[in-house]
Amino acid sequence: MSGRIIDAGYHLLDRQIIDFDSKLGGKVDDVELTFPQDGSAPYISDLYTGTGAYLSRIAPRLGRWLESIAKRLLQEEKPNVVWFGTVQRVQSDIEVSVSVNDLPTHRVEQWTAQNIISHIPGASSASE
Amino acid sequence: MKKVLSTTLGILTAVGGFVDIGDLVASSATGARFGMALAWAVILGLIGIVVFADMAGRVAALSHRAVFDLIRERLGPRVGLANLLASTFVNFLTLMAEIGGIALAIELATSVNYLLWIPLCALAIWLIVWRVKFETMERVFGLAGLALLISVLAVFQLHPDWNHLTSQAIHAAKPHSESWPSYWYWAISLFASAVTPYEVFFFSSGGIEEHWTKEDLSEEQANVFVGFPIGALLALALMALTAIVLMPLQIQVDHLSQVTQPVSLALGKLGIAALIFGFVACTAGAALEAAFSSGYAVAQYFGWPWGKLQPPRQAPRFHLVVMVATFLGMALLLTGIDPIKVTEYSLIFSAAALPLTYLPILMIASDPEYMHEQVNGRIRNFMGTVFLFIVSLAAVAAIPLMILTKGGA
Amino acid sequence: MVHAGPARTLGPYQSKADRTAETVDSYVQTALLSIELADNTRVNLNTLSVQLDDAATGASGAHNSFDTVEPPSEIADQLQEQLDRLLSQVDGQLSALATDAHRHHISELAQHRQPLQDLSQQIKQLENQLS
Repeated sequence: MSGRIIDAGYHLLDRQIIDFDSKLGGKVDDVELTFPQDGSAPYISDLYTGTGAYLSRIAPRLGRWLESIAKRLLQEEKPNVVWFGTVQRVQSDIEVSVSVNDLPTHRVEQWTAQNIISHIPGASSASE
Repeated sequence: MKKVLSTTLGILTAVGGFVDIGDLVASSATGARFGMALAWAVILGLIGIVVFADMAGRVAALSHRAVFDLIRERLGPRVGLANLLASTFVNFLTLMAEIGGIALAIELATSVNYLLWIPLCALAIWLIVWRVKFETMERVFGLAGLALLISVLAVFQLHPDWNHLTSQAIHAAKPHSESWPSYWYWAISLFASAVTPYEVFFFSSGGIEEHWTKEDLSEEQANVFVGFPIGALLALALMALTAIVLMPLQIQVDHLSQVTQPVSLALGKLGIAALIFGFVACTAGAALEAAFSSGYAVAQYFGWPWGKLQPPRQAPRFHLVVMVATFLGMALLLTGIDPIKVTEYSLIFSAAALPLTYLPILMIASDPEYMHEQVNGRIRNFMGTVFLFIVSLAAVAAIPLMILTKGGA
Repeated sequence: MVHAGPARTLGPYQSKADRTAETVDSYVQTALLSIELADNTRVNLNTLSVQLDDAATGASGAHNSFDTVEPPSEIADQLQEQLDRLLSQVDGQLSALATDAHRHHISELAQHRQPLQDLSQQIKQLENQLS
């Protein structure tokens, strides 16, 4: 497969993820490299975002523990993944083609919104 | 015409936000103890904040990214995290000090004990962050903060010996009764009160919220090059007031009430009324900035949605952070901690954390990938580097001096 | 009268006494300034109340802090007695002053002027002896 050769360390990690609407969707907390069977150059297959992925880099044991909980709770194999195929553009931030509602970070934002923020009057209206 | 008005308003709003409880306390306290001898620290701080706020504003306008967002990107998650923890701690102390300041100022007007005002102040601050539009907030508090200009009038009304004042400022000599560690402790506190990081976070994030682009650079520069100097003028006026009235009487400033005495002498009841109104406006404005900055730092580091452009429901974790910070600050203040002491500590810890904030800004402002053709020229890079060095010196000396002087005694 | 005793015994205690005296005198001067401002109707009642409250609380706080330190010798004992006497009188004056302000007895504030000026002089004399 063809693609841009980018320096994963410099160009992807810790970059802001934004959706097609320019809404913020977390940071690239981790990347997954796939090493093809045929020995050709490894390529980035997935981006990871979320607390589990973040902790995997900062505090690996804590991160793995958190991820295993998330996997069990959500019944997903890769709870924090952002499929690389959705990446539209890599500049100073990473634009993906999906909506922010489909991104992993949205889950926690939603939870916070539903269980805490929504209970406070005025949560849904714009400021005046 | 509309453009002129909006620029003027921009400048006006800049002023109100640049004098906070830290400036009030540091300027007044040093004036009473050192006269005008530490005026140089205010000037140095002014140049420093102008250099860095300008850079941060330009970063916002050119890269459309906010400071903490870029800190993690450029410095990596671990250094970014250290930065986040330090900045959050300082932001929190500042928020606490400012809320305390509002309560103390209201006490001055009502004689009702400040502790009773704290919950109301904290609630008001949170409500404003929750509901009030950014622009409205900036304008109201900025304009109201201008009431502090009464302090400049008061200086003239006292008919001071200008030669004596300027000579004190120029010679910058340590009075006999003070020790060298005290001199440098207060110099660093004064410097830190001018160069507070939360101002930079707020300024740059605010610029993003207002969708600054290259075309807005001139407004951004007007904000910086006019607003901050007026803030420094106010700080110097407060210093002069206590230098003229309190120093000869050997009165040390330990309470906000003492800060009202020189204005009282000069301008009477109306003067005090304007001064207290200005205190409330400035500390409230600063409390808001600190509250926002607490949220900005955390949300921008983790990439969460932030700011006022969307309903709270769409930036829930950002608002949660602001809520928790405000509530915690209120709770700690209610234990009876002296807000003036909290202010003094917030300045020293702020000084210690300064390089963490300013190094990334300098790095990003000189990086063409983010700044394109507006990347720092030689002068900005030179000024930035010089001040980074100064700021690092202050950072290293701050906490040892605090321990040595037992908090500025 | 404080006699200059062995420096090493008196040293730190002497400094503590000196600092306390300096702090309390600052509050006495603050109160005197407030009285003058009230006399010339330069200050509103609420702010005046807060100024005097702060002065009274500040002075008594410094007094309490001084009392927590044990005098290390007999000579220091004398110093403690002397300063303590002054500080107690200051506490009395300042709290009466604050109460007068709260009750809006503004005309009575001036009564405290002379006693406070005297106390301030005595404190300054003590400071001179110590340094």
